[in-house]
Amino acid sequence: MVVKVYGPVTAACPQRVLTCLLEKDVDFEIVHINLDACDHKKPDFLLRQPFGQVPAIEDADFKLFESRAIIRYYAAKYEKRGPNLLGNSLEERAVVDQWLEVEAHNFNELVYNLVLQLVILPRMGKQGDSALALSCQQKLDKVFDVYEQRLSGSAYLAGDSFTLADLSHLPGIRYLVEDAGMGHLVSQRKHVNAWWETISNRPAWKKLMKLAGY
Amino acid sequence: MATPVKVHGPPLSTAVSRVLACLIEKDVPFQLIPVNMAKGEHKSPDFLKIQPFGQVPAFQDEAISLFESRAICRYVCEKYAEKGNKGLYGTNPLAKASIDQWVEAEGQSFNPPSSVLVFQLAFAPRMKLKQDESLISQNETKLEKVLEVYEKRLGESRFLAGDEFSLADLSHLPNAHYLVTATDRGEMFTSKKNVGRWWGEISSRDSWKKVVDMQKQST
Repeated sequence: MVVKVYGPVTAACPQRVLTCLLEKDVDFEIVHINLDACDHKKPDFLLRQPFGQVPAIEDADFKLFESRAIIRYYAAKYEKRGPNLLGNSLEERAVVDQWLEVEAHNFNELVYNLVLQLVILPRMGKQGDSALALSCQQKLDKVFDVYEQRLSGSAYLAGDSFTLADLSHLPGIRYLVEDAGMGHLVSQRKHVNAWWETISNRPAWKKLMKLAGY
Repeated sequence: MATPVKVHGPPLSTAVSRVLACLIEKDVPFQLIPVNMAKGEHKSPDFLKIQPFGQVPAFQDEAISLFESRAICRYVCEKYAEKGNKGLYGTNPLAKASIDQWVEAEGQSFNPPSSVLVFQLAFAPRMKLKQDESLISQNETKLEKVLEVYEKRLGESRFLAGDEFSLADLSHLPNAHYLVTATDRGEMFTSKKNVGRWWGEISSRDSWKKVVDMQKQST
């Protein structure tokens, strides 16, 4: 039985889930959702994901949405398979969760808005808000300063091993570096840069990049 | 001996009150350490050591120093699984997944627009700051869409993640409380049949009443 992942392979939130499944060697099938055609706002899809967002998953009778809930579920379900993405002790797991929350609340919205203004809206032939983009960039600079400090003391965000906390950043940073011309935010910081090089060279992420056609 | 569990931050802060509600639900004694944000204490070098983004809350016990309110809540639930409300974070993986799904929905869809409205409508006037009408209007529209999803969900299920009160519902208490009691937008919740019913249930829990008391005492 494969896990069905509903969403385009090129969108950040489905990529978060797909990377986790690849890390854990869990078989999946991507059910493409055409965002341009607003498939995600149609009644059928809204039954799966009532906020009209991607991804959603279906695993036999089990259904779930919200990418970070999905990765928590599969990282726990397949804890003993492949890399341990959660941490070993209760305290280690809490630190992983803490940095996953940081990504969700301090990092994600800034990246999303920056990419929206600089990449997505122009691609749609619309004018991006450059003042908003600049504001996001300045705030993101400060967030990356904290990451630089953190990563000067540990190889990965939550400690010595790659976990969900690092994984969760992969799609957003890829957009920043490859599409939004914001690579300097990463490359100008010694430890953030080393971390990005390491995590983006993991086989699972490289497999996803191939699947996404990059 | 004083409890080793410390929560740093003002109880009026929505994120701090999220953690307080969880600790009280789980029957975990704690010390609340005040942080004077008006004086910038949350940006002091000492505070940045326990919360490098300069935000509240920060949490400490004998084993760990932690930040991010929802991570703190999950840790408290796991560590004290056998205390207080045992089902708060579910008692099996499927229940936990459903709770995580709605905690994420709160964090990603409910929190952003409701936070803006809480600041603009409840706090800005008190701080004598000018309100941004366009920001208010945009976020009212966003929040309304989210509450329409909740209205449908809560017609199918007593609480967001299932039949029992969970972290998913608790996570909504801080922002919803301000909107309902400190602004004139409470109707967004109370005029909806299912959301209104849900709000009535979750806000009258003993744990939340205690948090509200702590907030009142701190002013």
